[in-house]
Amino acid sequence: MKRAARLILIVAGTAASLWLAPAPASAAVDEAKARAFIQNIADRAVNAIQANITKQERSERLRQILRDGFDITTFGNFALGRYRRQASPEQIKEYLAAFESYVVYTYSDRLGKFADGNVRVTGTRQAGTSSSDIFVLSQVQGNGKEPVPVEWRVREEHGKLRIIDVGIEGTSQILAYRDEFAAVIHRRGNGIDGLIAELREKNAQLQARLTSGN
Amino acid sequence: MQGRELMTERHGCKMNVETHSAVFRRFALIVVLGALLTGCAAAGGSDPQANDPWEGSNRAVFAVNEALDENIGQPVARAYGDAVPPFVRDRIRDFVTNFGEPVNFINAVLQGNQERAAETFVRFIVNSTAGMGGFFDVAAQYGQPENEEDFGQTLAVWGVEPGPYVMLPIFGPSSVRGTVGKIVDNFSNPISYFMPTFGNITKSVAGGIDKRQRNLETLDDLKKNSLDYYAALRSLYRQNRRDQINNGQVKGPVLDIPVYAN
Repeated sequence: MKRAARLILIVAGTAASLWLAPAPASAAVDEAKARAFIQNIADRAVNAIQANITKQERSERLRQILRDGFDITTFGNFALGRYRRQASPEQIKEYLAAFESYVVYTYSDRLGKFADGNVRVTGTRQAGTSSSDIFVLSQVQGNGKEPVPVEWRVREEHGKLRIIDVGIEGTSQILAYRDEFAAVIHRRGNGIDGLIAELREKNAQLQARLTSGN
Repeated sequence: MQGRELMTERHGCKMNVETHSAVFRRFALIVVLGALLTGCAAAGGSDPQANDPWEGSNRAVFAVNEALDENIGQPVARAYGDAVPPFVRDRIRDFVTNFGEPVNFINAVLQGNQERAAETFVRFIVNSTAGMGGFFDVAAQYGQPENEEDFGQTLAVWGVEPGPYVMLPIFGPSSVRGTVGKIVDNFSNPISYFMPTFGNITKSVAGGIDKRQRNLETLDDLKKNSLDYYAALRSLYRQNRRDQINNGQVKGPVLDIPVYAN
């Protein structure tokens, strides 16, 4: 009787600890899978740029590729930094929508310079013990320029791979967003609303530029 | 007795004159500082987390730099890119790089980095001879690219903190540490003492134009696509500088990016 009670306690305790404990760090992302993922996203982007379609169509295709490739939610949330805690769920939702458009417009503009460019995956690097993310190393070459080494930080979420950071010459894009947005929020002095307003203003500007002429 | 009194009086009078000019100087200083800091005050002060206490005056300097760049820097860099063929531009860049190798060498030594010091030494000898006086970076073709080291990086290796952000006139983003480093580097190159002043200036100007030409697209992109160009540049400068100090090696734990529910 006593023994049975103890057994039940142990089983229940183990079950509870398994349930309560944070999910164990999932195994590192598979290297080959991560490489193929980056190569695929890059090739799709290059194809979209080279395809003989209108600017509007190109923009739509790039938006879809960016959604498939980037974890824009992680980018956006991280970029809010310490101001995220002060924002309401509605504000965050509004902000994330504006942020997604911002990423799409800026990347569409940037990718436009890769008309005869290409991306060559060269290797991978594990993020280390504190993270199961993986860095995919690549050489990005645009319009007859010297290739630039670019590191894509890839995370596996619910079985899907997504880019959560882009590194060039020791700089992290996600960190640059956070620093810049903190400056905007601080300068405007009205919290995340000021940032949303500036993002929308910028989006209108960038959209006008992207769609002009075609 | 009388004499002493007179002296005191005279002294007092002189003191008065001095005090007067000191007050005037202080007043002028307040006016200048006030003018520099108004931008800062109007913006409600710099974000303490940005480590940029002089943000108001830094932004003012940045605005002047931008105006100079738009009116002189960019047109000259574009004309240089259009008029000078890539082959010649590469020769100029290689020469300027080779000229700076002694600074790379001195700082590699000061950082206790024997490997980089040796590599730089070999590069300088090879490029100065086989590379026809530095016009051809043959060492890079044999797989030994430049190891860029400066005194700011040396100070960092020695454990000196960067201090606040500084926007230097013309030279652009830096820190207190970086500014000190730049001044020291300016005097630490032995070759420059054997060159006439005109040669040194020409070399610096050519190097500057070449650098601006290579950064035209990057900075153009950043300016066009950022919400706050000044803050974006500040972040990228600092991150890139840290990478240079670590010689491109990844150090410390990876950036902690949490998992977000939505």
